[in-house]
Amino acid sequence: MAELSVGESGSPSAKSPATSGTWRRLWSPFAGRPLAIASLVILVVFVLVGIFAPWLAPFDPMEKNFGPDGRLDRLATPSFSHLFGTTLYARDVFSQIIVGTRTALIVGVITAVAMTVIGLNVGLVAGYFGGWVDSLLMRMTDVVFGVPILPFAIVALSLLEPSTWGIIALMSALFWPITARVVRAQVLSLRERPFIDAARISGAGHMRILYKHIAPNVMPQAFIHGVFGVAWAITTEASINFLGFGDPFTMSWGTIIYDVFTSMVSYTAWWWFLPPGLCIILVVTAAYFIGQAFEEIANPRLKAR
Amino acid sequence: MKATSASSAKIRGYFLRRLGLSLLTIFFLASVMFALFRLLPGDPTMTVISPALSPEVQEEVKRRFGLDQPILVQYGDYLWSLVTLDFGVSFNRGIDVTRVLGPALANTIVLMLPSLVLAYVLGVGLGALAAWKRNSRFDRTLTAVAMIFRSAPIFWICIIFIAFFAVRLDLFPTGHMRTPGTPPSSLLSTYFSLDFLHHLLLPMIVMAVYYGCYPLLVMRTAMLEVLGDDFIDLSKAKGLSERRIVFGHALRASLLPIATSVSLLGAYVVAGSVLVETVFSWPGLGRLMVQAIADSDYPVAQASFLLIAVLVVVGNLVSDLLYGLLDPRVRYG
Amino acid sequence: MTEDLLQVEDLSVSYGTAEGPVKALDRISFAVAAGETLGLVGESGCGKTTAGRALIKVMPANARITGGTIRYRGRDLVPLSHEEMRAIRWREIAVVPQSAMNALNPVFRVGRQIEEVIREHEAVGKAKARARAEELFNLVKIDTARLDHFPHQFSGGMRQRALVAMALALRPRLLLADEPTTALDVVTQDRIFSRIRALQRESGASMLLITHDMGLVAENCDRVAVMYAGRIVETAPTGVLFAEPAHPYTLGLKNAFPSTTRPKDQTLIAIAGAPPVLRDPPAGCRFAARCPFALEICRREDPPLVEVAGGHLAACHRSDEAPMLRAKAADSATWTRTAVPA
Repeated sequence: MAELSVGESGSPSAKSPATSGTWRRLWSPFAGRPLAIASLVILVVFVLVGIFAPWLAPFDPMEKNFGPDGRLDRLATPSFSHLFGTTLYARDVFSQIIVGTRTALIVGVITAVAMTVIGLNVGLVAGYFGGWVDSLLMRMTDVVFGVPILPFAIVALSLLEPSTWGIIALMSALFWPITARVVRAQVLSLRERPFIDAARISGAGHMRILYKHIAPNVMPQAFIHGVFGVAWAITTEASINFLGFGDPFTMSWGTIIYDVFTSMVSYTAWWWFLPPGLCIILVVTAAYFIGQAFEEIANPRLKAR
Repeated sequence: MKATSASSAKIRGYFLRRLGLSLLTIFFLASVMFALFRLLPGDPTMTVISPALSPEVQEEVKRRFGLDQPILVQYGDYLWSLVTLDFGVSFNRGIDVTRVLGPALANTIVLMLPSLVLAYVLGVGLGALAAWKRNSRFDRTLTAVAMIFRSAPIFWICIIFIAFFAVRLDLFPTGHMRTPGTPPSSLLSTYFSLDFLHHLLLPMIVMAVYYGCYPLLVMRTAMLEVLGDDFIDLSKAKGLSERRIVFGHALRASLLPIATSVSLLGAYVVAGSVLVETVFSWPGLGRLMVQAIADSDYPVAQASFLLIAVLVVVGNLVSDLLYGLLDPRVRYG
Repeated sequence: MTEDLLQVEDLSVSYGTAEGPVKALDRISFAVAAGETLGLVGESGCGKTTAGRALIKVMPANARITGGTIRYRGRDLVPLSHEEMRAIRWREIAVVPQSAMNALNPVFRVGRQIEEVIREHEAVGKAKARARAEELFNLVKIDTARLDHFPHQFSGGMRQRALVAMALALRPRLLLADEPTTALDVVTQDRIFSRIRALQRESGASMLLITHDMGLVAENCDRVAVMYAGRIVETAPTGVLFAEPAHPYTLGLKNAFPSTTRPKDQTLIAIAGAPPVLRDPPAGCRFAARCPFALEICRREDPPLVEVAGGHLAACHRSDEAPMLRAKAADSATWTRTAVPA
């Protein structure tokens, strides 16, 4: 027992490097990078708007609005009461954007978390155990990696019941290989490091070594790809909704553009089709910049570019 | 001599392994399709037999297609039919699926190829210039624009272009491959007429600009790396002109990552054709698939999906192989 | 005395960095006579490479010549335009770069890269340029069939000889050789240098040999200029410099290299410490912090470069005590005592 406790605390060199200064490490990608900070601000605003969407939206996004003359207020240009104007169906674009933000937030975050959980576990197990487990899991990863995501998603969604959860599940099932590959590569090198040996000598089991000692060290890389995953998920979900294969009762940025597109007459209504696209660009660019900032910290060689 | 044959055996092994993996991916997708189409609620046969037929005929077709057989036998038959390129008959058009796919594929290619070529000409040229004028206003603007375009959804960019160039300025038609109501007089005039060119231009420009961002950023990065190399300094010491250094030496030496990215982007463009072709009502493979799904024309939907998947997988395969062949540093591990 | 081919006077070069300008060269002066070989020697980072590149004005984007003149055949190169410089590059002053680096473009055949420079400067056809390239390969003893090979198919020594061939392509008057053989083994290095010397004698070209290798300098140079922290601290004919060095830094450099004149069993002595940061150079002599003989005055006053004998200049407050310093410098204890924290 005494021996075990000595092994547990270990010498400084045997300590897992991930346990020191978490907050400082989290802030370091932003220090001195105005673009990364601006991106962070955008993402924070995006998250807040998503969370408080029901209270922020001035109208029900599906509600038809009427003008003072009692007629439907179709394609109204932006005004104080309708910040982004109205659609052909007299709905408030601003409210649609706000509610769509919530959808994008949910889709982005849940997909990113799910793909990270799957990818992380596959990568950890494959890299740690090696041998046939590794071969099997990696061939699986390669196969899923080769699936054309959008075409596959719309075929599958058309045959199943169209729903936002279905979209999330599909994207999670297709996005994880990237995380798995990155994590596995890192585990392969971590496996040989002294602190893993120290843990092994102290009698830690495979599960403990994997999740207590290795996982915290591959989290940064998995996290980076999770951030990119948010961007891919939002774009892919918008594409699916734009093609009309999403849940017709969920308001999303893609749905708004779908409405513009299917109404054909509305290519002059810039207030209708500009906001959803700009929102996607803002959030996706912000996610890319933040992911990139973290990547530069993780891999300083990239910085020179 | 010995080393050469050993390395060529290694290359062959790598090639075979990658090929096997690609086949595995296609097999996997085909199997998933089989499973999906039989998971459908209701009578599974409705995905293969048009419900418009009379019950007797349906029974007859059922027998002929072997749908009264056990599921594993059906699965075997299904795979065999894929290998023999027998995708059945379109519900809506009543003709062989292959006869529907052919023209759609051709239409996709006539749009995709020139767009990709233009995307690369633009991307490589501008990327090289941006790298040469690193950190100038030109470089910063171009890189920022490329990054924004890369983040934007392609279908939205298409709509913006249509709204501005087709609706506002009325320079181009808003979609389709030819003016509606004017069927082509011959196969030749389908693709070789001013009307066709007029319809081709806007989607081609959109795709070139949108997809050109990728080679632009790849080129810029590769070029920046090369410009730090000693032979660039030596070229300056040799008294060569800047043009010759940038477009002769540096550009040529940076082409490796660009060359390998071509088929990768090609695969990406094929997958994205469902979006671009939908916005522009371009009668290609992507739009065919989207419409077939919407119209429940399952044989066409399934076949067009598998064709897209094959194109994407082949694109990825070619890119991997090119990378292995062109870069001697790659180990065929 | 013959007219100097190259005469550099008070040349200063600064690098712009985020933390302010760094003076990489501080008013250096040297001259190269026709047919002469001058060695420019010093530790890495002392500015010798910057000096070489400044001569042909091929410098990093953040580098700038801030003062001085570079007189080449009587004409100052500093104010020349980009186009005027291009006419001088290679035609008049050619470079023999380091072979370890990829000085040859990996995607072009070696022959093409030689022909390219000929055709850039002379109005000759493809066939003529090719014939010249073949002549050059014969000169450096490489099979002419090799012209059609890519750089990576060459060995290190062969690549270096190809670079020598390329440097000679336009029969330049001045060869700028920057650590040309650093990456090569000693035997190959010797072979290449004897080749360069022979070719140099034939063509009557001058050479500026930039290196950290005192052995190479001793064997190949007529005169030597020793650089330290962006300055020239001593210059003398090669024989004089090795026999009667007057600057403590030169003494230290000599110690750090194996020599035929020193007893075999004597170990090499390194100079403790590191050169000063050029962004903020210390007052007084720049070598003072590492110098075992430094006095109070050395830390206060910058010693000027003065003549200690005919054609022998040194920048040291104690150069008049040189014989005593030389005696002390031979003792390794002298150098270990001064391991001053920087």
